[in-house]
Amino acid sequence: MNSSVTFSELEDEQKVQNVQYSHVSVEVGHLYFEDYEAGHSRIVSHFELVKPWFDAVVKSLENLYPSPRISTCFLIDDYFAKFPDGPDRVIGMILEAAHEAGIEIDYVAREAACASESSSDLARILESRIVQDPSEGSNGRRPSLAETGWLANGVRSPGTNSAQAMDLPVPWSAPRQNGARNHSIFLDVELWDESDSQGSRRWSCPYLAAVWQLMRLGLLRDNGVFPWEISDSSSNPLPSTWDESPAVFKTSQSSKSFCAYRTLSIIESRFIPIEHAVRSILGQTAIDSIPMSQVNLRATAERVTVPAEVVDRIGYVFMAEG
Amino acid sequence: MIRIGEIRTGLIQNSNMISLDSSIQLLSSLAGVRPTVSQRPIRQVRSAPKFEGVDCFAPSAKGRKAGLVGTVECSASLTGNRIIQTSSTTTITRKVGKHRREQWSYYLANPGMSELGSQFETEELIESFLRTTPQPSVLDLGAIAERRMNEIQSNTTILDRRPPIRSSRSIVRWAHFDETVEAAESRFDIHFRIESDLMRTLYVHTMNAPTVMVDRFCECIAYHDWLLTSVGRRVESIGHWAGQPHDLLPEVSPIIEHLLNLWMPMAHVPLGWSESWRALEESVGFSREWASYVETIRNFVTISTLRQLEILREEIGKGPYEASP
Repeated sequence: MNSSVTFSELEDEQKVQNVQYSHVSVEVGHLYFEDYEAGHSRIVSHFELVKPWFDAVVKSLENLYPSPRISTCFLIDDYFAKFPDGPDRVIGMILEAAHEAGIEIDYVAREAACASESSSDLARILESRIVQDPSEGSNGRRPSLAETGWLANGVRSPGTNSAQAMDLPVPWSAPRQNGARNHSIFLDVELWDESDSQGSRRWSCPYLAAVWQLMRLGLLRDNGVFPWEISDSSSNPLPSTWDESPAVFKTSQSSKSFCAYRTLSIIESRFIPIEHAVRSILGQTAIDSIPMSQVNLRATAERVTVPAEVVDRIGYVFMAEG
Repeated sequence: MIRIGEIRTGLIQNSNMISLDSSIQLLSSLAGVRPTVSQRPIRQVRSAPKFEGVDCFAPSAKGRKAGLVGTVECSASLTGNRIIQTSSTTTITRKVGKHRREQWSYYLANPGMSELGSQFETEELIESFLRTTPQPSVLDLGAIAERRMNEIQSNTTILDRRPPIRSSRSIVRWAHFDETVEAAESRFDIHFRIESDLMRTLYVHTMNAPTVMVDRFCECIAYHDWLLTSVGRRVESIGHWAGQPHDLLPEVSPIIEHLLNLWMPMAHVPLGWSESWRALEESVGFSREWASYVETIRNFVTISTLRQLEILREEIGKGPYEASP
């Protein structure tokens, strides 16, 4: 006699949303608030600076993939900057300026959504996935020596650590990068500070940029769900206030997927320190295994190579200032 | 493939059963990932794994300095609303190519793995891990599991820290080595050893069974071993007081109330491990021992009840209510 019983419990199985991936997500420049203040022509000249590099990128991707799926995106800084105008005006201006320079932007995302978006606290989600780079001798016995709100890529100089005794002067010695090649490039990144007396956190620019990279790579989920609402602004008008805005505006129905196997950012060299910090944060982040394997499965199915390390999926074109 | 781990098992520090919502809150370790819950046949809430980086030496009884770099996976579970377990593990692989430490992102591409920098005999590594107390700068998995346990047990927003029974925390240190042998059937050998009052070691040697879930299997053993030890101690103290005019009910009733229903040997034995569990049962006799404890407790309750009835009968006999003939 053959008999078979299967029993499963829904609660025990984690459901994780599968998303679609473009080959590459290309970020077409980045601006600070003062650039917007300088007006339309400053923004057009920014995109004109990006344009030849963008064309070169597209050409090289066409050599790499038979029919590349490329989506373009732009991150607007509504976290640190308070725009006097609403998204309808500001985003409208950006799309227009890019178009004038010959670039079509598929997605415009809000930096504030990298901190938190509706009920998803993305900044906290990234924070709990940080696995600090252990210094030599870390055997698990003590928790790693963390400076609250900071993340280093090595061992800090003695005497600069607030946990040490106050009364003994400690002679200076050099900080050390973990796993350095001959010499250290030590980096200590401020992840957040407290913006008011209630202790609410103000996340740092590189920290939010790290979330931005992970969102573009489609590697973050909140309780199994892709945390951003992508609103199709080709059919809906842009809202007039920032508070009502979705995380991402999709500008055209023919746009390829927002998430991609790799990202590429075409930005000015002034952003090198920010991106160095972003890579330091992401180099110390353990991504959940399910979205990681979802990406690998999709990529393998269409014979696309995706680097195992998240930081290796992120590329740049750093341009000289215009 | 070598996987090693250490498990802490104890009683949750709370007087009453804690609700499902509180259990989930207690075991939330990762923002954006809810602990998983399975209800049948006994409720188990399990945290998402968290990782911790290590850059130290591999355990060596001979004092060898072989570098080990990677991440340790740490998780926690609460079973039957009562028994809390924390577990830290890492899979040890040999570094291919040059013996230098890679950038940290390399290790995070496969969290839960550690790379051994130099040649090391498998048997020596496992023996050293199971039998030696970790020296400074040598991997200390127990410390990670212990710290996680302390964090959970000291969460006073959820726990009142007044457990109904006094009990100890047990330690199970385990290692799993799987060998790939061509044209051989899969095979499981398990060595379970009681090292001291509170410490056990477990060596799982398999052939052609690079199975996942070995962690769960070891946790399952640790869980039942803890129950046996904790209930066994009480039974011993009952034996000690037997026949004396000592009210043992306060000693015995919490066990009946809180622990006896937790014995579920096959409940969480992971798929593919039930044969091994049965074999272990046969040689170690977990369930036989448990049955004898339950029997002792039942007998005790019966005898106490009879004795109380006897006393009551005598009282009534003496009392003013006795009807005169």
